[in-house]
Amino acid sequence: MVVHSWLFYLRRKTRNVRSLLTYILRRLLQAVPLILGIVVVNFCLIHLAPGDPIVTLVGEYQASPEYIEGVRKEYGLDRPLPTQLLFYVLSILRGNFGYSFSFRQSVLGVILERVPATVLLMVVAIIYSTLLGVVFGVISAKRQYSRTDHFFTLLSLVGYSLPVFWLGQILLITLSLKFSLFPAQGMQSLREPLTGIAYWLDLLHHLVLPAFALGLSYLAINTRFVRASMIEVMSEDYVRTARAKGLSERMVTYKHALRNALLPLVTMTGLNFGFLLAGAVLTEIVFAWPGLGRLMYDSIYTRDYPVLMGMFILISLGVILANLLTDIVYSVLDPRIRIG
Amino acid sequence: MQEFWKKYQRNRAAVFGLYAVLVFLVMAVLSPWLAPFQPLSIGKDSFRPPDSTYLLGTDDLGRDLLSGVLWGARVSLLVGLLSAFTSTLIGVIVGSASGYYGGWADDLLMRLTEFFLVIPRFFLALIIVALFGSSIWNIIFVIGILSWPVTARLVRAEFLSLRGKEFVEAVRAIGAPDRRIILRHMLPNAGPPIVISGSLQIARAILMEAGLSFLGLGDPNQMSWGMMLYNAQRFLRHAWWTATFPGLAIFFIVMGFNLIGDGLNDALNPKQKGKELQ
Repeated sequence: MVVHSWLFYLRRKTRNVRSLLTYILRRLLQAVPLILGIVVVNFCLIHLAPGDPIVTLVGEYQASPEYIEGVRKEYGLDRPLPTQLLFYVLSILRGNFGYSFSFRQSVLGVILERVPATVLLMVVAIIYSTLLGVVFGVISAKRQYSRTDHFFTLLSLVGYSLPVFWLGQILLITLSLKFSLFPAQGMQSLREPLTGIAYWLDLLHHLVLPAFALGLSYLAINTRFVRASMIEVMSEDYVRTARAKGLSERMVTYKHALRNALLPLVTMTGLNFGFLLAGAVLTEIVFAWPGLGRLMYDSIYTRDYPVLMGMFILISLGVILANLLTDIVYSVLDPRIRIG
Repeated sequence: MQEFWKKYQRNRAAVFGLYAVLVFLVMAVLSPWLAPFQPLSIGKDSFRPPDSTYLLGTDDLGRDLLSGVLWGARVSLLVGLLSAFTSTLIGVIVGSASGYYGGWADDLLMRLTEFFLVIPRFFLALIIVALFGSSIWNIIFVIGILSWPVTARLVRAEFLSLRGKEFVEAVRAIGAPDRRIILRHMLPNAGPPIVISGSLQIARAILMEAGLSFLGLGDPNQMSWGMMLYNAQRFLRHAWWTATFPGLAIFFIVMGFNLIGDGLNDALNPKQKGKELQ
């Protein structure tokens, strides 16, 4: 009897893992045309942009004629368009995003150097806005139409409407420049090189304002979302059943309702990833945070198109991966999704 | 209509949002008469804090900020309204074709919609504006053609649920052409969600334009709030007022449209209360 049920469990378990793997594989395959599509969009932009495509591929620089000739050859600019597209796709697949004149470095190198700073900012913003959003949302939902609820509703309305870069500017003017509570610029103090715990504390000190500014609108969205989701879930049958079983209200809220209410939040985070990245870019400019935003700003200013195009492809890749990841996490948490 | 207004009025915040937007509308229309100075004309008093001549102060080039804020309302409203209109139009066309015809057309259009949904919109808009030039019409066009997927999905869902309804079957049985069924019978029934998402899209478009202008990609011939913040960024230490007022304007107009969206949702769609974002 025991063996039998154990076997049954094992069989079900393997079937589960297998269905998860096929799901992941299917999702990966679905991502391929998306990525190709983005490369094609980039290619079209290079050719539709006013002027010679070479300007978009090199940037507005006085490059030597030999170099320009080389780029023409590399991308096959003297050949028919379909061949050019093939050349372009192949060079992107090889990780060749071109060369940046203003940085005197390969585009890929320039961009990858800046990724960690941006990711750090985003991760901190995502974590705090999700955690607080859940707390605020649950409190709001539990005391629907109370004063607390109205307060959080107002707060999320304000947070949702604030332009992230302006919020950053105002925080900078008040908290850094006026009251000197936080450093105004960059990621670390430049006066003395710090090591160990002091280095991390210093980094944290620099991180507070930009991460707060970036996360606020997501805190707002998450609060609203969790509130609505909780209110909906609390009227479901299984919550009524749990109550009827005589479980405590705490148990019902946190064990039964909250878990189900939070599921869609995973998908939301994935969908909002692109917007969050856009927000990060804008926030970085305000605080001179040395990430992708600063790079983007400089590249717009110097008309360094290869960097902009490369960034677009890599950012798109990041967004697609983030969506993939959240879909997989969701399907692990809720196996029903894999069948549908 | 009267009944609708009664329901809308019940959401007091939404009424406030409506008034806020009306104030900005008046500012935009009357800016040539209300503004004390030319918004782009360079004056000799630079970095003047707010006083009786320059109510909101002046910037680094001595331009009057009040005039800039007034004229900026034009840019924001123009971009917000026109690009939301463009994207709603595209979304309605794609969504209704997809939901009405189904089959391979639906598959194809939905793949396209998903593609546009995943693509990082802000960055694509940024590249297009950087490459093709930052005239206000380019900005409107770009935001419009990149923001339609949400509407398309919404309209498709409405159409799918309407397709099986008896009245649609009835008109089809009479032999009405597809175009007539879609335009006269189905679309009006899908109206409320389209209007709600439209007003939220205006808010998003305004934020997007402000973001692009803040990166230095605003139309150089039009004073916009985002551009004012872009200029202010270099002088935050000296002149707090250059950043404060244009940002407040963006905040209030965006909040206004968001509140209107909420109010419309409560009035037109009472069952969905509180679930409007996303």
